[in-house]
Amino acid sequence: MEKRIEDLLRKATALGLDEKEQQEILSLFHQQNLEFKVKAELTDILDNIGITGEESGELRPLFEKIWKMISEKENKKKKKVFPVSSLLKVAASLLLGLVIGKMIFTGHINSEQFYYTSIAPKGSISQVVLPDSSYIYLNAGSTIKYAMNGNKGNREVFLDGEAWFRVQKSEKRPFIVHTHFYDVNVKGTEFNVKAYYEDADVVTTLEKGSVTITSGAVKLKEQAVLEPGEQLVYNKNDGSMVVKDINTRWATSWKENKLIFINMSFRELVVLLERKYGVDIQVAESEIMDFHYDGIIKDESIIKVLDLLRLTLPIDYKIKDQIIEIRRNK
Amino acid sequence: MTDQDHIKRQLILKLKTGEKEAFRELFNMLGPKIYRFALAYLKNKSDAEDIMHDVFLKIWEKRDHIDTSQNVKAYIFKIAINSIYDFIRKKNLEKAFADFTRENFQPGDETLWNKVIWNDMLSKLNPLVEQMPEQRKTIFLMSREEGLSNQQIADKLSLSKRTVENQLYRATQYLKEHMNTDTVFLLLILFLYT
Repeated sequence: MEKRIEDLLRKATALGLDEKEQQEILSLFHQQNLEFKVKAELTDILDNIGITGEESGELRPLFEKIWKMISEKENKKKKKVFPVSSLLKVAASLLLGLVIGKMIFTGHINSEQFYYTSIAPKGSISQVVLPDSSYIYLNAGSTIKYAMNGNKGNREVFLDGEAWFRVQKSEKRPFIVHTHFYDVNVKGTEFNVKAYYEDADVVTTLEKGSVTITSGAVKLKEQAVLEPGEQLVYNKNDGSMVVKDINTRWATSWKENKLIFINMSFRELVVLLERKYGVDIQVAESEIMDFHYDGIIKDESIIKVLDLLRLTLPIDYKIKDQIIEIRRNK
Repeated sequence: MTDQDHIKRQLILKLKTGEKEAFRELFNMLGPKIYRFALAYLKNKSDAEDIMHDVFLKIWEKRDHIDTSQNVKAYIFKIAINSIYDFIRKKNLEKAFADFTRENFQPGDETLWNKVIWNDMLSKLNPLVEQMPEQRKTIFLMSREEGLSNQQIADKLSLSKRTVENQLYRATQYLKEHMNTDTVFLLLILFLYT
């Protein structure tokens, strides 16, 4: 068998294979028990492969392409985070402007502010249209308080929980999302903020436009500007901020009643399900919490979801007095 | 190892400081081999270029972690092999999936391709298969995993051949319906993240 693998893999580098041989070679890449052997063999072949000399000329443009991609990536990284010191200078000059502005305009601003509150209880998603036609999906277990004529005439919302926003463009009246942690400053755009008070991570995901994340209730090390397709994860325990490129659908699919988990721990999954279905879940053994799960749930009942989990993970469940009990399947 | 392949410690140190020319030198040393190798297995220039992008981007990103006291070439080759291995698997599965969703797909095809790669794809879709009614699932797995003919299945389960054909048809219809774009999408992510 070993010899056969070796022969096949070697053969692949030659010309004139028939389709059957080609398929046989490709099938070697799908047999987990052979993975180590196949990779070792491939390494040996790669090490001994001869080159004709034509390649280096042919590859010159490719190197430049790769280099261009690398420098773009690096530039992006640099651009994203501004050092605080230079920001302070800008802030100082802005502040001066604001003080003058305030003195001129104080007389015209109605100091009385009205706040409206919308709530999406656990187990349901709600939609809110603000007076300026901005549109909000409020995820289960979330509360949003808003004022259209907030401080300095800004549009301000206070979010506890998770919401997706489509904000009407207005250069004059910035839109600010305050969370228990940081603030998200918006012009006109579509984005998602997940900021449940009890969660460790506060996550902002940008689909379109541009948003700036600044210090709010907590002070950030630096502010961050997001570009479409980027996600900022702030961890409130260690204060770390990470910006990554993601498929934004993963973060916003909840508003279509669809949940996508990628390598999600059971611990996170339980919190998600409790919110989405308004149920209480108790997990008997803590080791279950460390299972990881990939999956998509759309418009399913909680029972169906539990059945699905039971099929793919070694767990079982029982429903007792309105509480779902999950334990290891023995 | 030929002299030409020997990677000087000095070069890696320069690479670590972010020098473009050092990176180019490394690319010129190992790039042609990796390219030629990728081309041999992928039979396609644009795929081979994708591999090159992937491999050299990884080298750049991991340059801080390159241990100059170890065999640097082996380290880089390992990156290249893993990249090609994953790429081939992903491509095969995409093709298997495309074959499967073709209008005139005939179950019971006995080629190795179907046996190994198609079954690999199926295993990723196991949750769907698990949801089939018991009899249909049994018939489907006998056909797919054990490679039994419709007649053999009928004999084993004391059913008419017609029933077996019917259940197999329904099983494939069911999978087709449920292997929507989300599943393909999920299939792809499974690859990128496992």
